[in-house]
Amino acid sequence: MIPTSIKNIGRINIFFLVLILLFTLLSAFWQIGTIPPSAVNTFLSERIISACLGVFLVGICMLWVKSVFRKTSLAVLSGFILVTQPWFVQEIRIFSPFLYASCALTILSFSIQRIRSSTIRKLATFCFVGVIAILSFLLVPGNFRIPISVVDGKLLLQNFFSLLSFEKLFIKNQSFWSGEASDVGIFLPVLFPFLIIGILGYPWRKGIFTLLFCWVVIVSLVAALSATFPEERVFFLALIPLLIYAIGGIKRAFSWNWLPARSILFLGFSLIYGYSYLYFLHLYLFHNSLKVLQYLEKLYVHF
Amino acid sequence: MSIFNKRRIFLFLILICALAVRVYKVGEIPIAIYSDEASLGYNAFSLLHTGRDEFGVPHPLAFQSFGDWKTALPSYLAIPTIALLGLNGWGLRLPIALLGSIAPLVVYFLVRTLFRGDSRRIKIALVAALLISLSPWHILHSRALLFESIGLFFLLLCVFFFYRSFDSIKNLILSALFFSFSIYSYHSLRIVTPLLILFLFILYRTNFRNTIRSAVLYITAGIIFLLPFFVAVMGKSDILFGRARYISVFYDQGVKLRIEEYERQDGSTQNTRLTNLFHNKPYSYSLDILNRYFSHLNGNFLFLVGDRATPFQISNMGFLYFIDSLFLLLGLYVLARKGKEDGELLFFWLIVSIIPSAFTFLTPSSNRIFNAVFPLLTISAVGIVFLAGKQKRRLISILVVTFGYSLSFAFFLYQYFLIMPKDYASWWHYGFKELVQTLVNVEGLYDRVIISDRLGVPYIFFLYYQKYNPTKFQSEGVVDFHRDPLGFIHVENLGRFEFKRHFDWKTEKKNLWPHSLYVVRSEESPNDPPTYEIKDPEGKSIFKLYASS
Repeated sequence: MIPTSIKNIGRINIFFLVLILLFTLLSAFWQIGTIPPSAVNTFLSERIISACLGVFLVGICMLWVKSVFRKTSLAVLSGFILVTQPWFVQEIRIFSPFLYASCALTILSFSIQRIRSSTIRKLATFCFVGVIAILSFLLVPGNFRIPISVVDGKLLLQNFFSLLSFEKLFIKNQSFWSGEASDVGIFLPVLFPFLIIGILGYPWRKGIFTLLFCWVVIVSLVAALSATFPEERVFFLALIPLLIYAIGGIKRAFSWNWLPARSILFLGFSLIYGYSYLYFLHLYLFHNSLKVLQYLEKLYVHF
Repeated sequence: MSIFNKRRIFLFLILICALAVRVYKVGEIPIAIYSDEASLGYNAFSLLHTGRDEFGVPHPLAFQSFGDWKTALPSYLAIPTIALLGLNGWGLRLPIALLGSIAPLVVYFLVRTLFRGDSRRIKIALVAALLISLSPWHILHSRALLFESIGLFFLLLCVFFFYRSFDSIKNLILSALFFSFSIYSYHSLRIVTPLLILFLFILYRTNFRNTIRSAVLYITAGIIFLLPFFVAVMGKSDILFGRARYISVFYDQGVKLRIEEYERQDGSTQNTRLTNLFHNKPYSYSLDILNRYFSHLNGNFLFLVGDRATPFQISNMGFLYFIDSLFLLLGLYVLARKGKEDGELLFFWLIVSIIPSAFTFLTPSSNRIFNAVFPLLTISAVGIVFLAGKQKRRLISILVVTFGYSLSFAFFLYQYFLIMPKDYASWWHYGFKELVQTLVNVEGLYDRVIISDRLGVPYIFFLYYQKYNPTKFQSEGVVDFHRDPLGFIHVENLGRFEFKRHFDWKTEKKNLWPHSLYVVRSEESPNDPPTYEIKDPEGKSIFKLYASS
C-alpha cells in the first residue's frame, strides 16, 4: 500500500525527489575527508555529522516550502536549489555549529507554521524570534563580552549593509577564509532577480513572511556585531529564510501566462544556473583546495 | 487665484532655502579650488580673452585639459561671471550655484507632471523639491564648477518638456534642445539621456497623435542641435572616447590578473578546454560589472560612508540622509504596488543612471550616478507623502519626519561648513594657492623651481592663481601630449617652473641642481627640515620646499 501523502506527490516529482536525494548525498559525502583538505584538528566524524544534517536540512526545507506555497514541484525545486548553493555546500562539508543552529531553527519554524490556533502561533512566533536572537548571539565568539556602551552604531549599520550587499550575497562571501572558496557568494548570482521579486512580492506583514523577515534582520544585526567581521559565519542562519524568498520569487517569475516567454526564461535560467554551479564547483574543488593546502600548517581554525 | 496661496508660498520658501544653502560663501567653501574646477575656470578665462582654450583650440566643445577631455559647457556658462567677478571662487561657482538653486523648481514642475493622475501630486512635487533643495549630494555638486549638476539640470528640463509635448508638439523641440545640452554637459549622460528618451517614447507611445512622426521630429531636432558635437567627434574621436578608454573596466587589470592566476593554478593538472570554459573574460567581466553596478545601491555608499574619491565626499555621512533610507524603502513599496507609468519612469531612470558607472573601475562613484539623485529623492518623497497621508497618527508622522530631516540637515551643515574646511581641506586641493603665492614671491631668488609631479596636476594651479596670460601660455607652455598609463598628458614647463615627471625626492636630493628650489609633498619627505613649508588649516604640513645652495 502506498501512503496517500506519497501518492499525491506524483511520479515525476518522486523521480526528481530521488534524484535530489542522490545529488545531496553526493554533494555532502563525496571525498568529505579530503575536500576541503583536513587540518591538524579536523575530525572526520564531525564532518560526517554536518553532512548528515545537511541532507536532513534539505528534506525539512522541501517540506517547509511545500507547506508555505502548497506546490510539490516547487518544494522539490527548492531542495535542488538549496543543495546547489555555494555556502550551503561548503558548510555541510565541514564542522559547522552554524549548520546545527540552522537545522534547529528550521525545524522550529516549520513546527510553528503547523500550529492551527492563530493565537498560539503568534505567541510561538514571538518566542521563536527570541530564540533566533539568543542562539545567533551565542554563536558569535566574544559577543557577550561586548559592553553595549561601546557598540558603534555606525559600524553596526555598515556591517549590516555589507551583509545584505549584492557582493556578499552573490559575488564574494568572505565569511570563513579557511574552509570556503573566496570568489563565490552565498548564493549563485542567477538567484538575484528571484530574491528581489520574492522580497517585493511577499510583504513582510503577511503570515510566515513576518517570521522570515524578522529572522533575516535579527541574524544580520547579530552577525554585524561580530568582532571578527567580515569573517563571521553566523549569517549562515539567514540562508534558509532568504532561500524561501528566492523560491517565492521563482514562483512569481514563472507564473506568466505567456508560454513562449516562460519557456525562454526557463531555458536561460537553467543554462546560467548550470554554468554558474559548475563554475562554483571548479573553484571549490580545485582552487580552494589548493589555497587551503598552501596554508594548511598555519591554520588552527576548527573545520 | 491668488499668487499667495499656501503651495506657492511653500515653493517660494523652498527656493529661497535652496538658494541660501547653495550661494552662501560659495566662493570660500569648499575651502580651495579643485584641479578640475581650476582647469574649467582657466579655460573659461582663456576663452573669454582669446576665444581659444588653454592649448589654443578655438571655441572647442571639449577641452583636452589633463588628457581627460572635459566637456566645455561648464566653462562657457562660467564666462559671464568670470568676466564680471574675476577668476576666483565666486566667478567660477556662482553660475552652478544658481542653476542648482533653480533645480528644485524644475523638479517641482516635473514631478507634478509625472504624477498627473495622482490626487497627491502637488504634495509629492513639493516634498520632492524640498528634498532636492536639502540634499547633501545635490548641494555638494551645486557648489563647485563641475559637470554633474549642470547635466542633471538639463536632463530634468529635457524630460519635463517631453511631458509637455503631449499638449503641444512644439515642446518636443525644446526637449530635444535640452537633450543636446545634457549631452554637451557630461559624459555619462551620453548614455543615460538617449536611453531615457527612448524609454519615454515607448512608455508614452499612445500619448502622441502620431508617435512615429513625433519620434522623427525629435531625432531630427536632436541631430541638428548635436551637429557641432558629431562634427567634432568625427574630427577627434577622443572627445567621445578619450576619457572612457582609461577608466573602463576593460582597461583595469584586476579581472585579467585574476583569470591569469586561476589559469596558472589550473596549469598542467587541468584540461585546457576546461580551464577556458571556467576562466573566461565574458563571465568574469559580467560578474565584475554586475558587482560594480550594485555597489551603487549599497546602503553603506548611499547612506553612511559615501564616495571614497575626492572631492566627492562629505565627512562622516553618505550622500543621502540616513532617514532617506526609510522613506526610500516605503516609496519603493508604494510605487511597486501601484505599478503605474510614473513609477516605471522613476525605476527606469534609477536603473539606467547607474549603467555608465558600472562600466568604469572607480566604483562606487557618486558623480557618475549623480542623476540618480532625482529618482531616489522622488521615490523618498512618495514614501513621505504616503506616510503623512495616513489619517491615523498623521500629526505625529509629520512631526517625526520634520524633526528627522531638520536634524539631518543641521548635521550636514555642520559637517560641510565647519568640519570639512578645517579637517578635510586636502580633499579640495588646499595649499596650492598658498604654494603659488610663496613661489611667486621667492622665484626670483632661484635659477629654477622644480615641482614634483606627485602633486597631481600642479601646472593648472599656477595658471589659475597667477591668472596667467592665456596667449602667453598658448605660445610658450611646454606640453608633452603623450599620455601616461592613466591617460594624462603632461605640462613640462611654465616659465621658470618645471613640473618634473617621475620625481623621487630620495634620489633627487642626492644630486641637486645649484640655486634651485624643490617642491615636494610632505609625505615624500617626512624628516628633512624644509626651507619653506605650506600647512593646512589644522597646521599639518602639505608641501615642503627645499632650496639648494
